[in-house]
Amino acid sequence: MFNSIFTCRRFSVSITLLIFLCSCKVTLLAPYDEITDKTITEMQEMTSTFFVALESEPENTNLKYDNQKQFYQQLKVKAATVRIRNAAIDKNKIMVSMINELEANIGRLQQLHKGKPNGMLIPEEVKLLKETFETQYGAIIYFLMALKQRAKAF
Amino acid sequence: MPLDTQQLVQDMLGAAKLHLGKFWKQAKPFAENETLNMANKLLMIEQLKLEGKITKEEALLHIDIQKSAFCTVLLSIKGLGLIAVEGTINAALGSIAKVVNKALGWGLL
Repeated sequence: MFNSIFTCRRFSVSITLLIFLCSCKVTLLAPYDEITDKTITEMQEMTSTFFVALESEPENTNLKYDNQKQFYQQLKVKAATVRIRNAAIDKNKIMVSMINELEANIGRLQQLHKGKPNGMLIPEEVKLLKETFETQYGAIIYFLMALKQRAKAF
Repeated sequence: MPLDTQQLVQDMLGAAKLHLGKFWKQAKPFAENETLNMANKLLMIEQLKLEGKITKEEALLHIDIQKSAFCTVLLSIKGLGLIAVEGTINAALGSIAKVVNKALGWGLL
């Protein structure tokens, strides 16, 4: 009799565990965030506009560092805003890390530009930086799109 | 001393493999492509420095920019890998639920 009670109890526990497991969905990452998507896209547009202007008018004095401080300020504010937002979301380490890398690169771009004696980046640097930032933004947006697709599946 | 591109690519791929771990197999083609892109950009930076168009400090900043961008790409690949793993686990759990419901003859799960 004791054996059958024990077997029954083991069976009940197994069934309960199975029910619990099957009714849960495993989530390894934070959900898709529309505001992050929108902000990163805005930042990418601002950065692309900046590089396209530099590419098409390399001698334009409006593109000297002293005349572009507002661009850097606005970009850095957006980067900080999206970083703070994503740091507050659970299971979001990958996105936070990517935003940290992007924010660091914006700082380096500003440092490069500021350090130029004539305040102008040379055309070869502009080409290199444009491609690199496009790759970086592209990687973040690709991941965001994958999260968006995942949200539809969930 | 000129950059040894082949060695550079090997070293970077080694680092990428370590970073990506279990996702390396699927990520290898993307990682190889990005590594080659980055190696070419590093060559460009070296060339600009040799031609005196940029200073040593500027070259170092450019290199750091490249490293950050490469890191971002690897993180994105890792993230995509995790989404795939998550999907696989949930699909498996979903299959178990179907089997249980079929065995019971009604929708318990």
